Amino acid sequence: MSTITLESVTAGYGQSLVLHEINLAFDSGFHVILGSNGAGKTTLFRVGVGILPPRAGIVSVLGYEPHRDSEVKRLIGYLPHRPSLSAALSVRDNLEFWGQVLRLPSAQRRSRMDQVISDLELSDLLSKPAASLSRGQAQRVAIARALLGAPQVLFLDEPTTGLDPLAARSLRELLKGLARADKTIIYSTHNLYEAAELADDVTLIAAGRVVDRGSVEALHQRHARAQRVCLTVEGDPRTILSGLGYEAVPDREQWIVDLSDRAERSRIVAALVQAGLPVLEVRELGSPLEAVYEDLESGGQRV
Amino acid sequence: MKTWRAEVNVSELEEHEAFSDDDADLLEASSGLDRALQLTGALLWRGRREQGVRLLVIPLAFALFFLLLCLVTLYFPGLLTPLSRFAIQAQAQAYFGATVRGNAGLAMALLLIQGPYLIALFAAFMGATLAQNLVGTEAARGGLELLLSSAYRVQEVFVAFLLASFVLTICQWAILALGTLGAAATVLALLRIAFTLQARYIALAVAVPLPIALWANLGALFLGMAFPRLTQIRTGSTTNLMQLLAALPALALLILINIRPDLNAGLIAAIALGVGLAGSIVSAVLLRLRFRPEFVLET
Repeated sequence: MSTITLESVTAGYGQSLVLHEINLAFDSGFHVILGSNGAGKTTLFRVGVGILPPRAGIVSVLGYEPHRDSEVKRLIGYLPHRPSLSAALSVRDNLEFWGQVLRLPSAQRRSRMDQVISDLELSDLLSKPAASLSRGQAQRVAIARALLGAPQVLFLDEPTTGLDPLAARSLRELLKGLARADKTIIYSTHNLYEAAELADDVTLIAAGRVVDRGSVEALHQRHARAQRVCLTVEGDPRTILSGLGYEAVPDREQWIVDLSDRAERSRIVAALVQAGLPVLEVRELGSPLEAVYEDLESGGQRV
Repeated sequence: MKTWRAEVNVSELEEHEAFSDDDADLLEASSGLDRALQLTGALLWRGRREQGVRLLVIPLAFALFFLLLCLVTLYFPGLLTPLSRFAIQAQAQAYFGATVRGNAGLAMALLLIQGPYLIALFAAFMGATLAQNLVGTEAARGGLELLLSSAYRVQEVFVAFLLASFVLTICQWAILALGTLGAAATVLALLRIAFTLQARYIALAVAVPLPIALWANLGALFLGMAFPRLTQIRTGSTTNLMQLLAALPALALLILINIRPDLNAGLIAAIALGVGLAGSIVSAVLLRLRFRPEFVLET
């Protein structure tokens, strides 16, 4: 049985429905949820965490329905979209408060706090009031709070927002370690490079529906029609390429070409070679998920 | 910034793993009431840490203000408006069956008669402020969503908020009532002004302010949750429209006893008590109806 399953889940607020007939299953590992703003990612997380009961369908985490069997939520760590720290409290007190909310016995609470303080490098911030933290620092504290209960399942809503590149990289390494330790991590992000680096699989969501799901490579194969490539050619390819309807923009010793379809790659390479211009390298530019995302946004979704 | 430790020590994690061994026992962990009480304890701990000495200083400041009012009445009775002087005289007649004589009598009457209603007003403001600090701020920073993600049912979070809010309101009311009446009575005694506190008075002083304060507390909780923008409309340097609305019943009561001193004081106290309790119950029910994830969560 999967760690997390959603079967025909419909959910929303008041009169408006946000999620429609969602069917998903997640095992341990790293699962990225990708979608534009308003696609339903946060609502999906709230349903998965057990905050928002589904209108229809079944949500199961570790075999329990989190909105009914609230104790299972002790095995779930959640990072909401905002850090949601108590501004007047110090970092230490914020963690201490959450340890109490989690009902961790005091010895275990101290030990877990030491662990997350060490993992997230928070020692220098402990006595600072949360109100004085930068966005990135507050985000680190919020992540530490999500990890405090040593959860089996983590729902992280855009965790690297506000983090500087080094901190974001360190967090990714930490999370990779957790994924290797058999945790299930559900992760939403707008950072396509990050998604491509981390994801065991990616779920594409648009307008409250699952549009597609698979590995980064598989999604790329299915969705990425348009592509920007960097060509290294012996000679000037502009005349040949303009004959084929493409514009080549020089970039130092290379040429940048926007292709309308990935299949065009072999056609232009063949044309250049036939014209006596050896092609030394054809390199795809951008994240493989970038083209997938563009396809999603342009409405070219395929289920 | 230093790079965080990239590799998670899995054995350490497992050592500290809280609940991984037997999921079957998980749902038996504790009862709903236990959980609600534990969450109440955590919220009170945080409230105390967040508010710090303000929890003590604010009611004591109100008590000091009331003491000054008594002393001003004693030494500068000319500052009382004719209506206030008339109201105190009329209430003293109604309470004690006697006309108040002299400045000391006026100060005493102010303490004994208006005191409980002033305490009710102060306590209502404090109750509304506490509610705003506890739930209003929580909702504004997204903390309610976080609490609902933890191992509690919605009704347990609701009960915990209510209990924490009640406990803090009652504590502040107790400090306020003791400080106000105790300080004023002590000063008057030191000034060798003889007076006795009747049991009826004590009962009034205790019974009237508390339900009014709790009503203000619950009213503020409901208003803050149903109409969060009310907290953004300032009505003074430290107050907003939500606090003012929540304290309105207490203010109305204070105005009533001043403009209609001829009304039976005991009857007014009884009505205030009844209305305060009824208002608290209605506010609690409205609050519970509103306290649902689809309303509480930002969309």
